[in-house]
Amino acid sequence: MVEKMHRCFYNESMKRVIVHSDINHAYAQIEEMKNPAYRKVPMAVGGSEEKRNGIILAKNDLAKRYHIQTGESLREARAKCPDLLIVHPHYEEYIYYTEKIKDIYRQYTDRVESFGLDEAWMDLTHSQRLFGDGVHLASRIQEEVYRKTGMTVSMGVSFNKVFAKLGSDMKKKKGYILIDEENFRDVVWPRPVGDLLMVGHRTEAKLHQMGILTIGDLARADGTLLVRRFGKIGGMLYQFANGLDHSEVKPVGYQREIKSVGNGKTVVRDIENREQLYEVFRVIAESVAARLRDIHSKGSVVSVYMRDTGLCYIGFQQRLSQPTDLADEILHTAMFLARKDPRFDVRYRSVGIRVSDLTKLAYDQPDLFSDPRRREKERRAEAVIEEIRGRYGYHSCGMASVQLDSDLTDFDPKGTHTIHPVGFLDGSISL
Amino acid sequence: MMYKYYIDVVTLVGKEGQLQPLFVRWQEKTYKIDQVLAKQEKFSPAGGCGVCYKCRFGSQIRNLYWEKDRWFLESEVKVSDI
Repeated sequence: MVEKMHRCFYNESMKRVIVHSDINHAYAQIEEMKNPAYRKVPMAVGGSEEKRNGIILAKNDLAKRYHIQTGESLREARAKCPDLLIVHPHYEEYIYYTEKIKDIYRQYTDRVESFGLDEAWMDLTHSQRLFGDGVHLASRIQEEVYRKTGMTVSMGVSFNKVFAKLGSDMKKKKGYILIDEENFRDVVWPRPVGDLLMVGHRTEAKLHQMGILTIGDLARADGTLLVRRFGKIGGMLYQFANGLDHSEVKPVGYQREIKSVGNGKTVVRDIENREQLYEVFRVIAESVAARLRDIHSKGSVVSVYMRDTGLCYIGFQQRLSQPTDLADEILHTAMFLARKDPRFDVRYRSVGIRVSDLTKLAYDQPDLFSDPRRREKERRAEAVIEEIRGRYGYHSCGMASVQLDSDLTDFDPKGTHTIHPVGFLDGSISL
Repeated sequence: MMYKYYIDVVTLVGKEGQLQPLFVRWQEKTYKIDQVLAKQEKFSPAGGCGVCYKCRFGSQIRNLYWEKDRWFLESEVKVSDI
């Protein structure tokens, strides 16, 4: 099959060669690369128990043997493996080394699209003219990554992005899986439908209810029925399953349009009352507003989420009468939404605010009953605070009330916001 | 078993940004790099990765790595107080 694939990719018709690469257990592997002794013990990268964001972010192969799961609490992980070594995350290092690996990809093609920190698609279709067969090239890139960084990447090589991603998920060590137009029915279709990109737990459960258990079942299902059940996403999944994803790998330098701006915080101790929540929300709202102004955008929808001590999640959202980039308006909307939580005596462990439906609208819509210059004055005041913070440090300027409970409010969400999860879809779905 | 030690290096930065290590400081002593024998990007078995400069110090040959923004020396010798 491999020989057949080589011929298939190497002919003059230049079939698409899309590669998806995934740095295996990236955070843990970077820590291991920097300190090889970590390879000899069960090790996981996790948050801090003291700061209470203690979940497992990545684990090495030895930790995997203890069935430690990404996302579980440090306590649960330690119950499975008492000798588990927890290393605190070094995000700046992860950004540096994952970019270094992507720089290797960029030597071979101008089409490298990041999918989170540790994953990327490459389109090697046209690189074949310069570097020869695309499949061999993928393998060479993999070797080069290992030689230069000591890290392994798994790869999926296919004719579209969705199957390439599936391929890299199937191979978890250094190596690659080929999925071509001839073998995808044998390789992809028997796999569970949940393995397909864009099929989350909820969609998977609904598909199971419809008797669709494998990707093959989805490919053979009635497309119209899927559209009726899931809307446009249904049609898209049907196309994915049949290998009809024609989406392009974005060129280097391409930036996704920002859809929303948000910050969240797991606080050092529980938020016990509305006053404390107000102050924590104030810090978050200031960060969200400043980040909105940085990208010259305003948002019309404010969403909040609150996670209680039992890790139960509740969220609300509200559309504003006009788009905003003002901390005060975001804060008051967030508090209005927080009051919708019907539970009494609930203690929150982590909370967050997100502003979405962004626009570049430069002017404020005047309304009949308020001072037309109020918003501009507030914007200027907030910008000055931000400038002082930029020059003299975050704590150099702020509301006196946040000092009331400085344990809870002593954080700088804007300065520490580094990791942006990404979704596959970019813009609206067009079919 | 290899060990790595972050060390001070006197470096010439060329007008194009290229680095040329000239001397290393090791336990208060300065050692001249007589020759850079080879230069390549690779990982170190002692941990870390970067641009490896294979350097000759008199008759001794050692690998010196430029890692992100600092230098480390790879050595088979374990030195406890560094």
